[in-house]
Amino acid sequence: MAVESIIESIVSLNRATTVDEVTNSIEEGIAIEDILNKGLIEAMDVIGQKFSAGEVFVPEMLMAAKAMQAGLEVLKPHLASDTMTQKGTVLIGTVKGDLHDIGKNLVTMMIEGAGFNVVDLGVDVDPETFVEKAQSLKADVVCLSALLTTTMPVMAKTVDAIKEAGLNVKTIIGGAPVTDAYAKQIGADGFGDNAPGAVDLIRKLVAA
Amino acid sequence: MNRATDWLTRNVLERVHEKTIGILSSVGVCYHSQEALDLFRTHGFEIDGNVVFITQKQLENAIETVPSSFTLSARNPENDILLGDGNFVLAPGYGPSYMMDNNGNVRDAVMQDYESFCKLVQTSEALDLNSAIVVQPNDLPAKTSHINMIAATMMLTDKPLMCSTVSDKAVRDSIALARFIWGDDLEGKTVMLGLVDGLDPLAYSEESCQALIRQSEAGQAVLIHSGGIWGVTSPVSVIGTLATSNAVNLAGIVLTQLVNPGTPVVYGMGGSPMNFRNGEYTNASVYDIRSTAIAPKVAGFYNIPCRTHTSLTDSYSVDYQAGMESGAMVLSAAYGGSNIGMHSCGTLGAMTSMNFAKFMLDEQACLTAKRAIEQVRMEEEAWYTELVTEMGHKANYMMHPETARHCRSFFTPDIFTKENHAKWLKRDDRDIVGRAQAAYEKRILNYTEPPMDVDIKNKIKNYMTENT
Repeated sequence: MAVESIIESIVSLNRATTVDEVTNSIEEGIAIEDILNKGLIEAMDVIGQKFSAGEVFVPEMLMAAKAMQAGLEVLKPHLASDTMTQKGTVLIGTVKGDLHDIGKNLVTMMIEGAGFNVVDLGVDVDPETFVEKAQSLKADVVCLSALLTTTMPVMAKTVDAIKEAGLNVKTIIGGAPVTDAYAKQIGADGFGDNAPGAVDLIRKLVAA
Repeated sequence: MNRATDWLTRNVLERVHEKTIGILSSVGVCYHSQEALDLFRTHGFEIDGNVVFITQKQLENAIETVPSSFTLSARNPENDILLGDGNFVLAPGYGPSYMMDNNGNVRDAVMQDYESFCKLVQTSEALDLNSAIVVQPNDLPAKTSHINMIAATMMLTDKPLMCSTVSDKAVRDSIALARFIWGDDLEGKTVMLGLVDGLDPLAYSEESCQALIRQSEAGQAVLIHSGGIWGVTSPVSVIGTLATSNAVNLAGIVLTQLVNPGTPVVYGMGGSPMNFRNGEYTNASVYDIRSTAIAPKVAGFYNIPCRTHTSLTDSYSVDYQAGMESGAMVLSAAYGGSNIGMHSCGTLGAMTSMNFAKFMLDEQACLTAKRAIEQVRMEEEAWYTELVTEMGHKANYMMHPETARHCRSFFTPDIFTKENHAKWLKRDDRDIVGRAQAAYEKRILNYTEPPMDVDIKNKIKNYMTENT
């Protein structure tokens, strides 16, 4: 079946054949929603499981995500305009005073691969920008990243700012010095200790 | 001969240098600091946006003014240390914000922990200076905690200290505090060493630029460090990472010399691949261990003192892995020619936590490493030619007065097990972690604060009161 070929292409980390298989699937009249959910997103779930089992390494996961996104680009013109936001909108950024973004970029690719609409605010993002964007984009989840112990307090300020603004949005935090205990301490809704873990957490929070 | 670095010949080092010049002159380095960019512009460097291009000539001019060694002065001159010139000094952990107990449980570090580490550093035979952030105290405001930490180091130790470099203000506060001890011009001495990290790939953050500039203005030593994560922030190879990390380091060094020619510099390089299995940052991999021998050779090419990592581990307990990884790193650094090792005592869990028992055990490894590279007795007497003839085939040198004369000069780690099995079985403290913990508690109990002029101490305390 065509959707299985899409999964196979992505699991093989092959961007070119992923694009071909998505194109073929559209031409064969397979339901667009099936190509998206049973092909592209399902493939990233398989990759996520293989990663958790130690069968796929991080750079390979990124290659799979790139293949998935290449397929998604082919599919996008055929999607209903709100399809991507239906799953949920996730805002992500590194907090003010911190320029580190490797982990954040990895998490961003994984969340996109899981079918969410992700808006990456970049690095050195102040609490006011998180609040403003969460409001204007109607974000479901805000993800805060920090690498420095000296910028972790800004996570607390950002979480407070979001609460004070009265937004109906969940917050999760992550980064090398961050812990589950710290997330609870500052009132965040969760802590992501790695990229697939963040995706699972976002799924749970959006479903709740 | 060092099998880890035999491949790093003079020819290869020259290629590293050549590739570095290519990167500096055609890719450039990004400085997220208008102050730094203005300085480069004033000195005629080509700039595009916030990327500075450095030519071979500009690099060579800067390297010419870097001292090949320098003295880091302590408030007790007996504790002054030499950076460079074959010397090997050690500093404790740097940066963790958690304390881990001997069962792997983590809690926030607090100022009392920082003070305990100061006391351990002061009474340590292995450590030569204190870190700026042995642990980050979570019970103090992040913006001003550096003042409390620097003040504690100054009052509780009389060994050299590191400048706090977390912000422009932190450097200014560190220098202000130092002036209470050494006067307005710091007696023309180098009294602080401040760590400035590059932001790989090929960049410096605004905070790093500010710290570098403030320290250089004051003539204080700057430790420039780059540690590419292979395949993430640098190319996925040793030599590719060498070239990019070297470019970052030299770009930082150029800036120090533009600010103040002759600013003492230490060249720091780490670097290893990420753990690609799980995407997590990892310490003390075989590549980290190897880098402690690689970095000194690269720094030596420029005749600049070298800093390496030491005593790191990914383990979350004081166990075989912690011992092996930490011991391998400090020994490799010693053999490889490192001039200053950081993270030498107490670190657990990939630099996230500190632990007192590990600190005590790391001291044993550090002393072992220092003793492993100590000067061998080479005086004519040390051949014992006449004694060999006299003893002939009887070979019981233990009865000879010469053995008695020198028997105490050999190092034996006092916490480790170094006795026969029967004796060991009779101990009620067989567990080495327990022995280390007891040794730590005893050291703290017996600690005496080094004397300090009352007037100076009051000034330091008043500064803390007024600024925190």
